Amino acid sequence: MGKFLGIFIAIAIATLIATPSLMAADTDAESFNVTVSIAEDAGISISGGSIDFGQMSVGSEATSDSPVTVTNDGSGSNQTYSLNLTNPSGWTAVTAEPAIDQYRLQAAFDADGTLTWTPANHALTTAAVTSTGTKFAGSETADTGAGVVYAATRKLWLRLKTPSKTASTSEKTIAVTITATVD
Amino acid sequence: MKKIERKTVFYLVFFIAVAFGLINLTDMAFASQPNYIKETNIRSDRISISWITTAAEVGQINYGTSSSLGTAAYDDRGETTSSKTHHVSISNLSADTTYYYDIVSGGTTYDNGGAHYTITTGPELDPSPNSHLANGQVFLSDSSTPAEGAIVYLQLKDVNGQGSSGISQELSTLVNSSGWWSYNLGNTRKEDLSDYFIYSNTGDELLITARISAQESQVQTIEPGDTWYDPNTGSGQAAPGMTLQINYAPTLNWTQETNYTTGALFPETGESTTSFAFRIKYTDANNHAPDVNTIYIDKNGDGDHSDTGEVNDMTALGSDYDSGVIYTYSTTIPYSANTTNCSYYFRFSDGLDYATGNITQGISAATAINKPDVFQDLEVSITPTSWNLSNIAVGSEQIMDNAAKISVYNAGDGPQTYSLQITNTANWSAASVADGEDVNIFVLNGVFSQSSQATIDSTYFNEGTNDDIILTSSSSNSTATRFGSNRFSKNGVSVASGEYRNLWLQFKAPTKDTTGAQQSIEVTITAAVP
Repeated sequence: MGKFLGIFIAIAIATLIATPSLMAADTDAESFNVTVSIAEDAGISISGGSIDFGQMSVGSEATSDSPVTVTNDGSGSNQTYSLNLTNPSGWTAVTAEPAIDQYRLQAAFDADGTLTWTPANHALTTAAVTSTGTKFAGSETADTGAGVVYAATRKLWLRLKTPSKTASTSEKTIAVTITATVD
Repeated sequence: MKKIERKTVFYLVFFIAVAFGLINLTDMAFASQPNYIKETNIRSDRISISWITTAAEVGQINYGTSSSLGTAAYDDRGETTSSKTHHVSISNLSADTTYYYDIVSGGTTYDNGGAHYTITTGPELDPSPNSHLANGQVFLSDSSTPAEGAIVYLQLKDVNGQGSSGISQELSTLVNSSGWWSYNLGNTRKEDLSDYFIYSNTGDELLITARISAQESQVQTIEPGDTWYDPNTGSGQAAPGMTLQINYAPTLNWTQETNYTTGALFPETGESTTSFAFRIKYTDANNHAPDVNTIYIDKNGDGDHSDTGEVNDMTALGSDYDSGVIYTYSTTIPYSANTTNCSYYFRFSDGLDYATGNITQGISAATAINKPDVFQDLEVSITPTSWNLSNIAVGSEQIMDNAAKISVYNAGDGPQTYSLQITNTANWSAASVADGEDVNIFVLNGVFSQSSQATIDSTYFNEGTNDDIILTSSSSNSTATRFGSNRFSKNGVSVASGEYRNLWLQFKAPTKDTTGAQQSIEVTITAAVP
C-alpha cells in the first residue's frame, strides 16, 4: 500500500513539474455577416390530374372517385391556391342550380372527399377564386388551399352537376386551373 | 590492530568538524574574499589595485602580460602586511599594455573564474605641468583615532563646464599612522586615460571616499583647492577631517502595496501595449540617497540585461530613505520571439555599498526575476463586415466579386493564422459537405488569397475534398489547402504582422427556403498564434 502511495505521489509531482506555467496567448476574433434573402417562387405539382366522371344523365350530380393531389413544390414558401375553370363548348358554369346547358362544378380540398358541399363556397367559376378557410375548404380545419406549407399536399375533390337539359351530348372537357401564389 | 597514521587522524577530525559545523568552510573563504576591488592610479607605467576583506589578511598581486602571469607585487605597506584593506601599487609597466593579474588574498588565489583580471595601462603623456598636492585626515568613528590603513579614493568632477568635462579617472592612496593622506592631483587623467584631466581649483569638485572596511567608510565632496596643504610648512589648507561612519548597506524590499507583496512588477504578463509598472522599496539606515538606482530589464529575452533601452534609472517617490522610499519605473515591452523569457533585477547603491536586499531575488543578474511574460498581441481587422445577398434563387451559387471580398488585416505584432467558423445560422443550417445544400441547408465556402487577387471563380473552392467548407461545429484552422488554393501564393497561415489577405466566400443557397425571411449568417474569423 505504502509503495503504491509513493508511486502516486511521484507521478503527481512529476506532473506538476511538467505543467508549463506559461499563460497561453489569447486569440482575437472578428465577425462578419452574410445576409441572404431568397427570391420566393410559387410552384405546384399535380398528380391524378385527369378526372373522368363517365357518362352522366342530365340533372345528375356526382363526386369524383379520386382526388387530384396538389403539392407545394415552390421555393419553400407557404402558398395559397386559387381555382377557376374554362367552360367547354356549349356549356356554361353556374353557381346556382344548373338550367339548360348550364353545369356546376364544385371543388374542395379535403382528405377523403366526405364533406358537405356548399356551392356558395365550392362552386368554380371562370374567374379565379382564392382559397380561404371556407372557400374550397374541406371538412377539417387543415383541409384548405390557403397557407399551404412547402412540400405539403392537398387532395382536391371535384363534384359535377350536369345541365338540367342539353342538346350537346358530346363529351365535355372542363379545364380547371390551380394557381399558386406565395403567401 | 592496524596502526592509524597521524595524518589520517587529522583529516578524520577535520571532516567531522566540518560535518558538525564546527568549522565553516564558507566563512573561511568569505573572510579572504576580495570586495570593493578597484583599479586606480592608472598611468602609462603604473597602476594600483585595492580591495577589502572582512578579516585581516595578507594580500598580493600576481601579474604579467600573458595569462601565465609570472610577477608578484605586494601591499604598499610591505609584503607581510595583514589588513582588511589592501593596496598594491605596481610600477615599471609598459604604456598602452594589457596586463593579466590574480588577487591572492589570505593565501587564496582569486583569478576571476579562471579568466584572470585584466587592466590596460594608459598612453605615454608629456610630464604634467601641474603639481597640486591634496591632503586630508581620516579618523575612525570615534572621531579621534587616526584611521591608519584606510584607503582614500579621489575623483575630480567638472562642475563649471571649463577644462575637461565629466569625471576623471579614479585615484587612491593609503592613510598613514597619523591619519593623513596625500596625493598629487596634477597627474590626474581623464576617465579614458587619454590625457590629463584639466580642472579648476575653485570651480570643480573633488570627490573623496574613505574606506577601512566593508562597513566603515565616508564620502566628502569639496573643491580641489581646499585640499592643498603642506603639513611640513603649514601652508595652505587641508581637506576637512573625515570621520569614518559605519555604513549599513541599503536594502531592497517589496513595497507591500497591493500587487507588490511578493514581487516588484505588476502586471506580470501582458502584451506590447501593456504598461509594466516596477516598484521597489529602497531603505538605507544611514539615510543615504542612492547614487545608483537602476533597473535592468531584459526586454528582448536574450539573457542580456544591458541592451539599448534595458538599463534605466527609477524615480523616487520620497526622500525619507531611512524609513524607505519607493522607486518606480514603468515601461512597455515590444513583443518578439523571446519575450516570454524577459527578466529584471535592480541595482541600488548608497555610494558605498550595493543593496543586497531583504529580498533574495532581483538584486543581481544572477538572481534576476523571470518576468514579465510578454505575449503576442493578436489582432485582426476586416472590411467590409457584411456580404448581402438579396433575392437570390434557391439552389443558386453566389461568389464574392472584387467589391464584396473581405479584406483581412493582421493588426497584431506577430504572425497569426486564421480560422473560420459559422457561429450563427438563424433558421438555416450549414452543410458539412461541398454539395450538401438542401431545404434550409446552405453551403458556405471560404478561400484566402493574396491581397492582390482581384477575381475568383468556383474552381478555387474545395479543390480538395470539402476543404474549404466553413463549419458550425468547430472553428477550422487554415492550412495550405484548407481555406486555401494551391493556385494562390498566399493563404491564411502564418500571416505576418501588417499583411493583408483577401477572403473570398462562395455561398450555395438552400434548395428550398421555408422561412421566407432574410437570414443572417455570422462568420467568425479568429486569429491565433501559428
